[in-house]
Amino acid sequence: MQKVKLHSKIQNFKFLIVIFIFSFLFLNLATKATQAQSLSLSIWPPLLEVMMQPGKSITQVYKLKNNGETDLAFTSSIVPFKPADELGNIKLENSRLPPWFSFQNANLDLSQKFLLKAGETQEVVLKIKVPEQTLEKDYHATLLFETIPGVFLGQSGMQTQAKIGSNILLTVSQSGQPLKKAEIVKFAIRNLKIRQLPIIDSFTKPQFLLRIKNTGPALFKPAGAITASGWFGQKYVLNLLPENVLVNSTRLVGCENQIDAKFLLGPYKTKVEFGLDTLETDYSAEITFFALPIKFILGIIIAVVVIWFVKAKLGVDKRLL
Amino acid sequence: MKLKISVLVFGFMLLVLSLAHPVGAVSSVSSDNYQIDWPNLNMGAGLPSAEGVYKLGVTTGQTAPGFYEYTDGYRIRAGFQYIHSIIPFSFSLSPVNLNFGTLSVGVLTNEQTITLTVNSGSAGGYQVKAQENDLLTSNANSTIADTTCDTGDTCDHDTDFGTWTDTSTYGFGYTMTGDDVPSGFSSGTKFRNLADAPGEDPVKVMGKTPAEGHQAGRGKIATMSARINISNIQAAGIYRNILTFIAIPTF
Repeated sequence: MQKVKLHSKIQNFKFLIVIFIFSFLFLNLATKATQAQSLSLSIWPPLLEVMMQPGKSITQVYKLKNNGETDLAFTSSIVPFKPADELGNIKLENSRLPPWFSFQNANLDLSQKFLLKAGETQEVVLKIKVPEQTLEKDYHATLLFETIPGVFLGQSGMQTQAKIGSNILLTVSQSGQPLKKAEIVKFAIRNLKIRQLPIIDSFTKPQFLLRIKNTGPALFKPAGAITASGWFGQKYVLNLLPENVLVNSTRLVGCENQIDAKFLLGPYKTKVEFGLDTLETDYSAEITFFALPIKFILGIIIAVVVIWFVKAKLGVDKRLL
Repeated sequence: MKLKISVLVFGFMLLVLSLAHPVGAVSSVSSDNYQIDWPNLNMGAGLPSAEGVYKLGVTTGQTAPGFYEYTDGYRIRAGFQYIHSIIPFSFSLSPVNLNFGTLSVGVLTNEQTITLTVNSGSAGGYQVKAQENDLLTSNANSTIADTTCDTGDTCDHDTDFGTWTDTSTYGFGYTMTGDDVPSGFSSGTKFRNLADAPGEDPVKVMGKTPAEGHQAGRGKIATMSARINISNIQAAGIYRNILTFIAIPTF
């Protein structure tokens, strides 16, 4: 009798274990399915700069990775763009580019839909072939990959679609040395302490505003520096960021570094000098700013006023006593 | 017997040596700020320069030429010249869909959030723009309009940012908080409309350029809070649309 009971207990225990394992697996799998709620993409390279002769062709490998948890369907396109502002942002245009762009992949064409599994990378070989007799000028485009939204089973709400892109700056030139021309639109100090007057506080690092316009037929990068020279022979050199200035556009050009002084005093003669793609001094502009300990002086004035006020008050109180 | 012991001792020593000495064939090198997938970098240290004479740009990456001579009829440069990183530009969304469920009438609590994450490692700067394909539309073709401003707020949500604290202000709108979001959102207290395709251009919801102080790096995170408020005359139904995010590095 006892043996039968023991056998029954073992059977029940086994049954419970099976139920537990089944529930554990079911819950885990179900949770995974509902948690697949993120989408993550990456692209390399982020920018492609090409200069080529008419009649030539080049190829570049791009890597698109699906870093997310779910497989995604994609499509691709080449969309022309123009500068959206002076900061390097772009505005995609509705127009079309000539059919110079194609994929060299055996199983994938430009604009063709493809599936990219979670965690996988798709390499695409972009070919740019510029026909003979092509007009020598700049062409700007973005290689865009976009997800195709799936089925949305929720109630009221929004499905999302992601597009990730990489910009292409193409210069068509026979000689490889297209004419480059620039104009310094503005060179000034941004953080002036007193309006209009070129004065900054001694404890503040000057921030330079440099706007360069491309007046030539091809893009360029400014190569040069801003040099600030002080009264006592101090010299600070700030290298310009080699950022692309596109044709007929103006770009706000920043510096790679800042003035590494904690305290500045007196007049600083500041000169920007740069060349176009080569370190020259073809273009220059000069300003002078003054660094004064404004906050320090204000602090002393306030302290003197307070002391004077307290003393005056104490004097009145003593007379009253 | 002796042979067996020798084999065992040898095996044990081999095991200890294997575990104690890490495998030397490194397939990638990485930190929070960079990752090198091909650690056979052939490069010199520093930027070669001589004051006032010349300056060369150095790009790192695979053992491959960066800028070719033009004798072949072309030059190519991939990546930003002044950023020595090959971390891909990446963009993430979480969750993928914004499910508002059943909407309550005349409240400002029908809100859903979506997190945008950008790793701008190899990019000079970046922008994330957003656009909706249409107004939120039901199967019966009823729509939930884009939100209007609170009474007394003179903003125009299509171009400007406005307050939305009044429960009688209806429609759909969004605000942004977090890294690199436009200052007009005032830390999530001002709302905007989404641009409608195809007539309206997508609007920037996140991004920074070098001139604005962009620092290349990982984990730039912003949150979009989308809000719907409907009146009691809103037709019943399930309203949906598609929200598109476009993430592109600067040039």
